[in-house]
Parts: sequence; C-alpha cells; structure tokens
Amino acid sequence: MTSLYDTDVLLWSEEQAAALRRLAGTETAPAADWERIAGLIEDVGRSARDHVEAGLRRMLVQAIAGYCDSDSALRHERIRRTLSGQIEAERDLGPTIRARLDLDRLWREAFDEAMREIPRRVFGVPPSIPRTSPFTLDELLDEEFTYDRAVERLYILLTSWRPKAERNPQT
Amino acid sequence: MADAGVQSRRPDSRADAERGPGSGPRDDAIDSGTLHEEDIEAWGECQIEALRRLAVMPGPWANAIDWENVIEEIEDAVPAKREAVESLLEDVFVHILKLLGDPESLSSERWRNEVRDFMEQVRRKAKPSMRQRIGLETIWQRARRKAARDLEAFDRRLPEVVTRCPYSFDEISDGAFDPLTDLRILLVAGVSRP
Repeated sequence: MTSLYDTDVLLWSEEQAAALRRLAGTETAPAADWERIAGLIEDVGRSARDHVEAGLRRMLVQAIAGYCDSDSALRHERIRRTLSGQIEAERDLGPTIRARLDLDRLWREAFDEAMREIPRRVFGVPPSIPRTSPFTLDELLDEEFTYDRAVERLYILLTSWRPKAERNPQT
Repeated sequence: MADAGVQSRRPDSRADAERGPGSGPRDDAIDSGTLHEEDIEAWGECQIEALRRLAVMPGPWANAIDWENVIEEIEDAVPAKREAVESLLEDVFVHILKLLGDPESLSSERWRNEVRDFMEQVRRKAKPSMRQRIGLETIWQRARRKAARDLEAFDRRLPEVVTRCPYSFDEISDGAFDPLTDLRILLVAGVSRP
C-alpha cells in the first residue's frame, strides 16, 4: 500500500507532527519526549524541501555560471553538477513541495551564488539579470534539460529579455 | 498498513490513567531533555522503545499515526545528527586546506567566514556521546582528497599536509578552538606539536 510518506513527504510530515502533538496533549498520553519526536518528524519534510531547493538552485547556478564563463575548464564539472542537482530535486519532489516552491527566489539566490563562484577574469556578467526564473520547474525537471541547452537558452533569453508572459510558449 | 490496530482500537482507553501523576509529561520532558543533551544515542533508543510499545497499544492514536514510518524516521534521525556534524567538519577541513593551497583566492574571505560559521554549528550540534562515533580520520582523508580536487580545478596544488587528522574531538568541541589560528600545523614540515 502506498502511503502519503512515499507520495508527498512534506504533507506527511506536517500531518504526523500535528498528530503526535495532539497525542502528547491528551491526558492518557504515554511517556515519551513528544515535542522532540514531533520536531524530528517535521524535519523530515523540511529536509526534503531543502533538498529539492538545493538541487534546483545548483542547476540554476551552473546555467548562470556557464553563461558568464562559457569557455571554462569547469564545463565537465558543471555538467555533472547539473545532473546531480536534477536527480536530487526529483527524488524528494511531492505535490506539496511543488505547490510551495518559489522558483524566482531560487533563481535570485542562484545568481548570487554564481557570482561568487565564477573566476575573477570573467566579465560576461549579465548587466540586468531578470528577477524571475527564465526556466519553469517542468523545464528543469525534463530529461531533455542539459547544462549546454540551459546555457544556450540563457544566451537567447538574456540578450533579448522579455517578461515571461510575453514569450511564446516553447511547446 | 497493519490491521491489528483497527481490531484493538477502543474509543476510550482508561488503561494509561493507572500510571498516575508521577509519569506526567513535564517530568519526562526534563529527564529526556538532559538525556538528549548528554547522550543523544541513548535518548534515541528510549524514544524508539516507547514508540514501538505505543504502536501496538490500543488507544485513540492507533490509527492516527503512521507508526511504521515515524519509527523508521526517528531511528534514522539520531545517526543523521552525527552525520550532520561529520559533514560540517568535512567542510571545515576542506576550507582550511584550500586556504592553505590558495591563500590569495578571491574566495578566501568567504572560506574563513564559513569556517567560523560551521565551527559554531559544530559546537552547537556535537554531543559528548559522539566522541566514540565520529571518525575524524576518515573525514580528514575525504577532506584532503576533496580539497586537492577543488584546488586543481583552479590550477592550484594542495601542499603536502599531515596524513592524520591534526585535531581531536575534545579540541574541536572546545569553545575556544579556532582552526584558522595556525594553518601551518597542517603542513608536514610545520608539525611542531607533541
């Protein structure tokens, strides 16, 4: 039997933590360190969400760093990191995490991280980085998504940037 | 999920009321709190035992909680706390080794700040009971390999550093410990300590 634990771990952890706290509040509750147990169960969901976010952020960092520093000797490493980020994001992604994801925040954080990472000789930093992610979540998780394609997309998008709504859908 | 809980479920369980006021949640919280601080592994064992007992006990909670997965997660959580400390220490070691190999790096200020930040977290998260379980030597070896690889990507070389971890668990848990104070002790040539 498939449980919520397997399909939507964030929702599972929130519901279980609430149930454990309710149980702790009942008069007949047996002795246990309920608050810490509930906290650990809550952490399960939080850490799943953190993993998804870290994976996606890592993918975006590689794309941005690759756009600014396309000749880099780090290309192979960035391909590897993009793939590992995608695997990490997919592994824990459930409906509740998906619904609460703020891809635009991840995009801005990824930009800051990429700026810290790229070597000092690079000058190809985009002058006006869009504040919203040019990639959708589905694009990032698509098996066709690769580091090289992502960099290429940024070349096209950032040289003639328009808000998302004005772009024609790709598919 | 098991059907046993459904069969034995009772609308109102009085059995637990017999335990009396001495086992109230407040006393337990204090005891558990101390145990949690002093020996988290023992704390974990106590909680898992309590959860296992409860999972097969009739009561209103029988079906409200996904016992199997909750117990499994608590079983994993305690080692995970130790792994978190291990992972922070590995990052600290990698950063100080990179500072040694590339002191002029643009990232050196960030590495220093992160070392301080990670050490702060290590001190908060490390428990005395972890002393026997944290493998400093393994962490040190991993950190050396990772630092060498990271430096190589920027055409830098890791100098010859000591093969055994130069720090002890007690040293690391000490509030005054700062690995940035003297990076030379990491160098094979710079070993001057007893």
